Amino acid sequence: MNIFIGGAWPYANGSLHLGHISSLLSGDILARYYRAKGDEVLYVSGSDCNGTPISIRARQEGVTPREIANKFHREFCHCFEKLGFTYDLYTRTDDLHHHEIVQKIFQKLLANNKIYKKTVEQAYCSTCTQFLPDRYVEGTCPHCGKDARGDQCDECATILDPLDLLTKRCKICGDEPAGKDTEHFYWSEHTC
Amino acid sequence: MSLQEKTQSTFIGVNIPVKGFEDKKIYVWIEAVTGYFSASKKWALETGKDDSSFWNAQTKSYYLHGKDNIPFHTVIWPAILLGAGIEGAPTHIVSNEYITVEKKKLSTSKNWAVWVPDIIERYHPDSIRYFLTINAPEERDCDFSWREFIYSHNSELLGAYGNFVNRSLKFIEKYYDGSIPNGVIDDSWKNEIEQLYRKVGTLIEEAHFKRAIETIFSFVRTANKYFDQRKPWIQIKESQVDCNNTLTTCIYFIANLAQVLQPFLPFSSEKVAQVLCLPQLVWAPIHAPEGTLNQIVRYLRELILTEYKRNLSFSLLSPNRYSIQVENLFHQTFFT
Repeated sequence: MNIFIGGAWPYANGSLHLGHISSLLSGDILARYYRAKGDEVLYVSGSDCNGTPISIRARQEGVTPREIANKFHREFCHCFEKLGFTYDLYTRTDDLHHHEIVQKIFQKLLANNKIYKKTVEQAYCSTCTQFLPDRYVEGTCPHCGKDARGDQCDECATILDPLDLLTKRCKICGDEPAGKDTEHFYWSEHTC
Repeated sequence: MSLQEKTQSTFIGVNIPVKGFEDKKIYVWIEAVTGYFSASKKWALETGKDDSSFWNAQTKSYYLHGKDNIPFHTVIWPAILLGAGIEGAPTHIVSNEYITVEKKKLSTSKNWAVWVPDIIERYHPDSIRYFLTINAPEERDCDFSWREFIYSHNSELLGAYGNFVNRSLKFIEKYYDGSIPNGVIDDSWKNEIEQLYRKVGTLIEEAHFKRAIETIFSFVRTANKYFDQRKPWIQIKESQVDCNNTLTTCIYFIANLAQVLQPFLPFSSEKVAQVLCLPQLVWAPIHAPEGTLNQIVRYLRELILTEYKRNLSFSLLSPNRYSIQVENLFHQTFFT
């Protein structure tokens, strides 16, 4: 029998703690067991090296996101090796090959009419001349009045849209962003 | 659902492959889970093997992650596969509850966590693997405390398993000059071992890892009881044949325990396999190995009395003793 095992991809912006290993170890137990049984096993995982928290940390430390990702990816490899993990492949999401495959899948979804375009209003910083992702907008929570990030208020746990915030600030330059229309792709849920 | 991060090119991620959208990124949770597929393709590319046999309706596929990741693996990932016309959607989602440290919630910002780079420098990997499996938060949150960690290691791993292996091998070394006796193993024990493989195998396949290792350690206690009740230290004086049978049975237990424990405690199992000259650890009952005198004595002197003993008798109070690098002879991992 063929067995595919996918371990979750730890996020490369900080060290692994025991909670990570606690949820990932069972993958290695399964892989070793099925191999000993004589089954064909493919056990993969990798470091998640994309996303906003890595770029924010890189900006804070004055290094490139790639340097942050490299540091923790290397550390993850060392930890997994020492703990005896037997991944057939442990890779990373800033790998060029990963980008190509993801883009191919995206195009396939587009060709199969699973995704569509829609215009939405989004926070735009005219000083930085760029649209801002959720976590790059900070301000006052419209529900509890405390400081909050554009994705969620830690104080009252309300899920927010960056444009909901009162007294919005761009995390990069501190100026107030405004709403501006932009086109995005959306998943068409009823087609699945 | 929005499929992309609302960002521009200064941010990292996978670009939207559509004209006019190149400066926008694909939403991380669409992109990250697709890593399972891209990693398969990369593996195929690097090894020259075919990954398509893992992406079909017959494949059993396990996904392991913390409970906060469940929606991404049960909704988003199957939706992508279906939408892209790829077979092999997840069949097993294995997700644990949370682990707390000394009864407090983990917090990376408050530095309240047991950091892996730290614990692996101080403790044997099998001790860590053992603790995390036997205390796995499979049904409810579980707590890690250093006291419990040390206790579980000393009383179970070392006290029960290490003790059984050590006392049996020492006895053979002392009274048989290191040569495994060729005794008879009772059929009832053979049945019990067969059942152990079956029971533990089913539990692993159904992702009940805690119960699987509990079942094995319950047998370790049975093995110790067997040694106590047979009293080989008396048998050796009164009945050589009975003593032979006892020690052959003990070696039979050890060889099979090394095999069923291999998924959980690979480093110790590898050591036992070296000492007993087992060719390869497989998932099926094996006979008690018959070592020629020379081979066994050589292995006993070189391995049990030095490395093996040091590895299984590790005391948590002197972690530096475990600086020996144990090579993983089993499997080649490609870290990229």
